[in-house]
Amino acid sequence: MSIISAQNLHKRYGSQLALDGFNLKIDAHNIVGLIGPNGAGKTTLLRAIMGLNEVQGELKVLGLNPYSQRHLLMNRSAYIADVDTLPRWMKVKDLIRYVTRVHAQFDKEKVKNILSKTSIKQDAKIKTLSKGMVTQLHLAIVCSLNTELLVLDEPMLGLDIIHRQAFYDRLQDDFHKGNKTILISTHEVSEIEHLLTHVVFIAAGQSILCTAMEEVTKRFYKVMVNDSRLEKALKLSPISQRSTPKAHQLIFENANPEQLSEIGELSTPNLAELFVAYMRDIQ
Amino acid sequence: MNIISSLIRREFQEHKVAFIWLPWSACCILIIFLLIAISSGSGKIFISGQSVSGPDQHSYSYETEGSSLGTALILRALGSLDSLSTVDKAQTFYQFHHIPRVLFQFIFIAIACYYLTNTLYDERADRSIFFWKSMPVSDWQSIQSKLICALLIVPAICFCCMVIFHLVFLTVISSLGIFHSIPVSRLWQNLQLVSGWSHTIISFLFSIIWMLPLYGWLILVSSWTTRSPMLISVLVPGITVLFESMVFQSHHLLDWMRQHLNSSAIMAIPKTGGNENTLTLLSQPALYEGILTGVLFIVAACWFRRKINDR
Repeated sequence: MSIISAQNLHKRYGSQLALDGFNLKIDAHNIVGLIGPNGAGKTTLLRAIMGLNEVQGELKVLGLNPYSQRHLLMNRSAYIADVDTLPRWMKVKDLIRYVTRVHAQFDKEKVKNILSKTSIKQDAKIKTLSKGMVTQLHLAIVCSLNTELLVLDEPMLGLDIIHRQAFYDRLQDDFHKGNKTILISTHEVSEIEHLLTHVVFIAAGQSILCTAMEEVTKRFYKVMVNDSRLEKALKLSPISQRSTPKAHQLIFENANPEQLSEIGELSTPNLAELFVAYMRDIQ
Repeated sequence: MNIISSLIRREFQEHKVAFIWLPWSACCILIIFLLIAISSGSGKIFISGQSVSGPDQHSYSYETEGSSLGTALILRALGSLDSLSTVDKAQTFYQFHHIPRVLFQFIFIAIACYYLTNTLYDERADRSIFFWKSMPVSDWQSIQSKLICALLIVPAICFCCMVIFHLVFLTVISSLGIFHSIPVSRLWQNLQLVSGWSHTIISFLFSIIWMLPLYGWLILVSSWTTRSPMLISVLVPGITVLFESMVFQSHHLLDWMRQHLNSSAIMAIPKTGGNENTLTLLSQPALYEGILTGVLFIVAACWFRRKINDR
């Protein structure tokens, strides 16, 4: 069963088209990375999935219409927006008490356990916490919701590398223990690459690549070519070319690896390289 | 119900000062003024009457609006209760109920207006709306909890403050009486506390219903405006009234607003007392027009709260 099914989504803000015929299908128990440049429509899409925006087109999340059935959807999903959204006047313990009372899937002991490993005091007011601590608190709350779907929009803003790593470990742990589907949008592509089962590239409100990570290794190749073989390599129609002082980096899609190995050093591109290649192709 | 009570608890945590401290502070300030007035004899208080005879057979005049209050005067007034005419007694004890009632009614209306004007706007301004909306709580439940706080719980707190003020006032006066061997049972018999308090409850409820278009309008403005909700809530009707008078040379909207903000209408039930008056007020078409308008504004506020993230 599809956890998220989006067909031909459109969303316009005045003269600007934020989503332009976007399509997406995410099956259960996957970690999907949503990657795109600024203004590509990531936040609009994630808010639509969480029922915060009304969009044209067909959108089902966990079998529900997210816009009209948001409160039902939120019983089964958790969401972090791309900005600091926790109520600053609240105390940490009051926030935990509030979530415990309104969200049936909230594991109070788990959040306390996570927070005990941080310097966040339960008596502290949120406005007295640093930006990184507020992010830690929000992530701790969201990770303690035993929901089927977790949607994270730039969740690591303000977090140092140690806490980011701890968060990735927890995310992976939760994913393997439960039957969770995670949709994560971030610019820290290299940090989450190893977590992902699928990747979606979004640009100008459209899905330009939607594939499993296993497919990426089979479908895309990176070849480092020197000047003498560049002309031969370009005849094989790379999707992108980037020149460095030492060599030329070319990315190929659905090419013959044997043929490519003859012209240069062959490897699999990482997500960041692939993303840049796709963006250059579009521009 | 658990969700609504959690939301109400949350609103109380956020607006502790307005919801709890403000009415209680008003109550404490009134009590302090009362004690100062009694001890110094220089305050003004709402004992009224025309002329009563004291235990020393002298006549004491009281102004209609109030008179100087001191221990001696209270003792004389207590001693002369029996000699007051029925009309003067009724007038005196009416003031006892009416003035604190008007004061606390004003406090709860001011708190409700301020709170409803800002509550939905503030959630968007500090972006906490994204957190609240990430919880399994519908927009209607959120608005419901805000209305319950402003229009039921805050008036209830103000009512409790008024009752406490009454009881402290009576305890002080009774203690003075007992200390000076003046019987105070007549005072308690004449006060008709339960009837006075039930009139206050009816008055509070009636004012809430009568002013529902105002409350609905304020929460509607709070749900959609992107700046200065207080200013917008005044400017929009102001400009509309001006437009109507300039273009159509009429003032229907102004008359309608006056009718629903008219303090004498709001205070009408306790002033005239009885159930007949209550029935007369309940039979006014303006009351039902107001309820309908208020409900429409609240429904629109709910729609905007759901829609607002699209901006």
